Amino acid sequence: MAGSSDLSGAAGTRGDLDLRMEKHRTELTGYCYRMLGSGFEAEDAVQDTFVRAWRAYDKFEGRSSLRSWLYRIATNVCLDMLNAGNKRARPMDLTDQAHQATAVLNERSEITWLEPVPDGRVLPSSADPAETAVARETVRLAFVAALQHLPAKQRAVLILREVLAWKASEVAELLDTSVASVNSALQRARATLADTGGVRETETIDPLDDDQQKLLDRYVAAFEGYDMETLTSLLHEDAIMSMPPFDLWLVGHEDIVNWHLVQGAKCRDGKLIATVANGTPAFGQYHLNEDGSYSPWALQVIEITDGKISGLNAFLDTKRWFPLFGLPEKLEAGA
Amino acid sequence: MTAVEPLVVRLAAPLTRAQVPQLCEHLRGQLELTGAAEVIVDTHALHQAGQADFAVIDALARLRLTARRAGAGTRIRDPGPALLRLLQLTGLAETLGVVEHRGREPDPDRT
Repeated sequence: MAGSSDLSGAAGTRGDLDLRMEKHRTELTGYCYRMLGSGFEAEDAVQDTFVRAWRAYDKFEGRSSLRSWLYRIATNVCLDMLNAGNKRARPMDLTDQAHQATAVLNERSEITWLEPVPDGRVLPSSADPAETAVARETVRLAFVAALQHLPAKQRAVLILREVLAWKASEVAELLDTSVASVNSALQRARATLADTGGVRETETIDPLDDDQQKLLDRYVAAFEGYDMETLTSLLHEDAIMSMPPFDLWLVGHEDIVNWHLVQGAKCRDGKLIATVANGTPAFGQYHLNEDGSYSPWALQVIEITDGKISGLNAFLDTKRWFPLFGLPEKLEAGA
Repeated sequence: MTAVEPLVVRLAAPLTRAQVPQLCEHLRGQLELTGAAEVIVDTHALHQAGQADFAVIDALARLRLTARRAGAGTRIRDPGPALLRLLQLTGLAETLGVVEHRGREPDPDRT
């Protein structure tokens, strides 16, 4: 084995370690984001992973690939961070549905919320469109929320099999169950993570999908024109609107429209700038100032199900999100 | 029935995954020798050293498996809050988590 060319990457010198680790930065950030639910923390976690890898490189010896070794370190880093108690959620996980007329805005410390993340930070560029689609699939807000809600047994199987690399038979023995049951738990965990399992199936962004593009164009026109009738026609009847860091969330046409007209009246005559967050269409939303310029109001992450909007997620901490997504701090009059 | 004292396995920090097979081998020998029906895994030193990571989970799970194969049960002694959380997070709390705290009253009825 020694001297075989595909091991050279694993057993290379410390001198080019930085360079070789750097190649894995984006995919590791994506991996950590899925565990932590925050792009900022994920980047910290990857940094920490590289530092630990650098320090422990003597012990590495190239027995596994550099990539899987980094994954192992990153898993530990993330778990340490999760132990510190920052499990993240969406408003829908924490409170009951609110109603527009009686809604109270309760702000919760930002650490609570699952955060939006730009695709470029977490999705490695791949020449293979199918691979890109799968990668996008797994950073959707719904996916990350689901990971944190897998039943204990599925989580246990997932971690023993995929993180600790136990054999299925060993896992079965430990959990006092059959190999078949372990395999099916693993499949169910993957299925939940990959999609449904109580999580809404939402579309990832697809620039080649004409229907999706049309829907988004109509949404922009309806929102910028504050045309509530058209907006309503684009929303599922049970569409959900949330606005972290507030913990309230609304369901359905009437409450969502009334919210726009009453509490959200300042959004009239606003502007939307398209971006992508969590593999999903998103917009930087601006509101009109008296001098005709526009200022940031929210990062909207749009969830689409079966050709209609099923989720409007307005992340209001624009100071945090606009720079992260490369959205301008201000739009000049007439923009 | 002869009352055999439980075996105590003390996990020292820092614990690495490389040590786990040896820990299990040692436990297997001890169980055979003593015929103990119960193993107490003492995690106090890990708690003091602030270690609660996958190496610990791997060790607890492997020791549990080893004990089971010899027909013995396991208890975790003095886990810190970080380890308890990690057990929850990994979904293994129920499987590995018969927990005892030395020198403390057992938890009053918590519902």
